[in-house]
Amino acid sequence: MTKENRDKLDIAAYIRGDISAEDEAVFEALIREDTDFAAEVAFQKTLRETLRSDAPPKQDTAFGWARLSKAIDEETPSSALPVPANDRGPRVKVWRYAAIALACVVFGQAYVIGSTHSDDKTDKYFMAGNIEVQSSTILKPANSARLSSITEFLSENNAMITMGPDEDGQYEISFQSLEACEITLKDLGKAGRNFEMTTGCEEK
Amino acid sequence: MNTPEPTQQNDLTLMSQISVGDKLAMKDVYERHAPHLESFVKNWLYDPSQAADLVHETMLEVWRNAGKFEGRSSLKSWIFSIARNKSIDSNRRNSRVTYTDEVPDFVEDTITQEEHMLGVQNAKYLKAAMADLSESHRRVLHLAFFDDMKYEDIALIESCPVGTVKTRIMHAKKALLYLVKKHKDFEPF
Repeated sequence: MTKENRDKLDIAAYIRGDISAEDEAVFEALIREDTDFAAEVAFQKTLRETLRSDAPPKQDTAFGWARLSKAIDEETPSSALPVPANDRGPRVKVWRYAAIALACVVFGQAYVIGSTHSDDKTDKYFMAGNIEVQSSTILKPANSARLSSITEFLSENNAMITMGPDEDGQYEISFQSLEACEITLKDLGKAGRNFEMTTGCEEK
Repeated sequence: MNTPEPTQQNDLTLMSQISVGDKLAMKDVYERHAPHLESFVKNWLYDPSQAADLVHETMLEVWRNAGKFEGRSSLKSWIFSIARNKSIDSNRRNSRVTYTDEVPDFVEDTITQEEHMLGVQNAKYLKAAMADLSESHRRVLHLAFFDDMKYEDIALIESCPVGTVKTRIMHAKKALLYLVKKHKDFEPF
């Protein structure tokens, strides 16, 4: 096979397994006969495997979707959109947060902990007390906080967003266990990230 | 159960649903493409911490312009090309000087058997060498070998002819192997 003809072969498609059985046979014969070609295929395979071995773990898209969903709702008049039966949307969250607020009052455990620092270079967060469930709390970032900083902060503290943002820009964040929540909240208190923690997680 | 592979027809149907305001269809597109997109834009941005914001902006653009998708390319490459333009704008706003390892311009458009085998036998240096590549080289290799994109799709994203993509990939591989050799030669005994 001439070099020109060989160059027309799509090695990437062969490696992806994206070619017919007939073409695959042509490739395999060529790999046996032509050491140059075999080396090129081997290199491309190695490169693909190396890059793909570095793939980040599958991400949870719930947070990103909640954010996008809110942005879509904000720019589209609700009357113009069909409401899918199984997409509850952000309105459902209103009563949920109302219930949470009520729970906070009843149990007398709600605190609003705010940043008392005024370092403009750092995003500011406010945390409103532990909510009825074992390992959840509400995170309300300041308006100036960047989403990337919020996610970085949560990931550093083994927390994840389970709901939000609601109409007030609040997120519900959860911890793997009550213990994790307690430890994390303690750590946050001394993390020097413009946090002051005066409450912990309590089991209901 | 595995998610079925998206086809051109599925893509068209989804996008036409989105164009009339179907949020569930948009959610489907988001869940299918956002994770890959985030990993992709991290390669482009000077500040990778902005990747999540860029994915958000890109997907919002997809929602707004769903009706413009004609199915002439895969939906993935259409979305990625929107992200690419946004990344360029973002990098312009945050422009800074980048320092990459100096790699000579390669005139020859062939890679020898020895060079290929050097790459195979020294796979452990490939990641470090990738990090030293220029942005455009790293990007095309990522699209071709990580995202498994066809040359035609890469051409759409890169806004260049298919022939240019092939040449760029060839030069990127050559530069990569050059850097692998450099890393290997500097390995402490």
